[in-house]
Amino acid sequence: MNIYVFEIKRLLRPFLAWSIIVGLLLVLFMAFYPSMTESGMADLARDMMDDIPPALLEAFGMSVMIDFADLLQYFGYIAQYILMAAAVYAAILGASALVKEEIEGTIEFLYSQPVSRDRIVTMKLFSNLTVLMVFNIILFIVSVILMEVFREPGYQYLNMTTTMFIAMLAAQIVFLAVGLALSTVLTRFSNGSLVGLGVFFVTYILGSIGAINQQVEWLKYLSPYHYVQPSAILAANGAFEPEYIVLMLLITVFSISFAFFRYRRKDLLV
Amino acid sequence: MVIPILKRLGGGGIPIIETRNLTKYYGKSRGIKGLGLRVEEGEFFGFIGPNGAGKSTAIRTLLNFIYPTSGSASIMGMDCIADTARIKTQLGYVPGEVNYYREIKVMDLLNYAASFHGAVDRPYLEKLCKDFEVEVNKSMGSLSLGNKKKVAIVQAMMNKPRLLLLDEPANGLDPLMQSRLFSVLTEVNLEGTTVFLSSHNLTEVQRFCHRVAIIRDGEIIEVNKVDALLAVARRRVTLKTGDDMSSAFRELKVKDWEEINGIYVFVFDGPVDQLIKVLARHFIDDLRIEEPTLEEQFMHYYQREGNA
Repeated sequence: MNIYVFEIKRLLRPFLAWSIIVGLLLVLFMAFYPSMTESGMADLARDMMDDIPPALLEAFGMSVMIDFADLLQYFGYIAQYILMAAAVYAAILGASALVKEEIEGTIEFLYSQPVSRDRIVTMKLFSNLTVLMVFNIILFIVSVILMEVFREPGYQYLNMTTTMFIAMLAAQIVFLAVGLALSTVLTRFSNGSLVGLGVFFVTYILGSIGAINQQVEWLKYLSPYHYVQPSAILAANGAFEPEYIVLMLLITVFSISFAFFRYRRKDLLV
Repeated sequence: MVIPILKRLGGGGIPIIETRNLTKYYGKSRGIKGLGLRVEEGEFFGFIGPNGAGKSTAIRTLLNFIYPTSGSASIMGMDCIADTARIKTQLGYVPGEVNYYREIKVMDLLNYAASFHGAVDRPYLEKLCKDFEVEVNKSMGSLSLGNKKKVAIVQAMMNKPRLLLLDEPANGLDPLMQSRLFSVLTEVNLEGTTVFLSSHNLTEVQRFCHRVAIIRDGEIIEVNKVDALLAVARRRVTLKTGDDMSSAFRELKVKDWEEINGIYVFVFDGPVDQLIKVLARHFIDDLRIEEPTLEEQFMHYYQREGNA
């Protein structure tokens, strides 16, 4: 428990920065929503979208026709950018979790205490998972407040918003797990944040290529980001594709198992 | 020299540290080779060798930071890999290079360390902080190397461990702190704590350790009592003369000597009688014949067997 509490305290400062920045981003994006409804901007946006090749639209996560004047659809559109930031954060959390102690040399303190390596991995996993979940809860609350401000009386949004957030959190957990697994093979000369960024963008780009090019459509399976596109979930009325759920579970379980297994045998060098 | 071997905790007979053919390679580069080491409970044991000889590798293998390529090691009769967490409940470790969480205060660090061990003797902790002049309200990141080392020493000792492993503990400490460190170490050693320290500073080893292991190029080349190492018939000779001594040195088979303003210093390993008779042919202003320091003894090992 002590490692868990200590880790959470250490993660607090970057967590606050991420929460404030992504939270503000959300407010900023949503602030444009009223202009969408008032001045026919939504029609304009739709006309523009008609001119863009469908493949390109798909690459930008607009495979389904978006009615920007609809609050949920508008939110679904901006949520993909929020998801991007959150996925990067999750990957960074995972990739830094273990190797940070080696980079900073603090592992010499931690592992000279009576703790097993399994316990270190467990505590790092839970503390980072906790921080990631609180981060999502904050974003969820901010979203609900914004929706309350902008919605028409009687407009139902809560169930769909919750579903989108659960889906996005699931993808983030996948990134956290993959990052954690990588964290056990990185050396003290690496940079957890860069690796985290790399994990997200490499998979994102591969997934985008898969979305554009039918011949390599399978590439989208490499990108957890593409599993949980908010607008797609919205279009499917909150339904997930089961194959994505299975994949996310498999990747997460495999990555975490690998992390435990590999960390047990790792030479912790400082 | 009194070695208090305590039979508490069932330690009688079982060495507190034992390595069997312990070997570690980093890829192809050598860490340690075939280390066989046996340290008894209650000893003040020195592990000496130049930088890069494998001292830290050996200690990190004992602590399971790194896995041996072959061989095995045990501490307090427990396996260094399988039982490492259990071993560490009774072990304090001071790393060679101290790295702590920069953003937290010294007190928070000490509290964190304490939280791994259950109850901590607060008055004892306060005494240690006072002895080593540790400022508990400073942030770790603001501390100098020496001050970090002091925190590491306090942290390693605060739980009154049965075994203290210290990797170059005096490094970075000023002379006053070094002597305080060794007096505290001697104190806890007399109360039964086994002290195992690595060093390349032989003076401290010579003054405080009961036994030493000398490590070179990853291999132990000698394990002996400090007294025994010093007792070998080697003499350190200092003399002052206006004469040219080169023919005398040839006769005495002294190959290496230092000369500054007519003061000659050399190590002689022949019969003292021969030394006196040869020197008697010269006009000698001053003469001092002493036991060699461990450092000279140590150099001797490296020259005799060194090939690098």
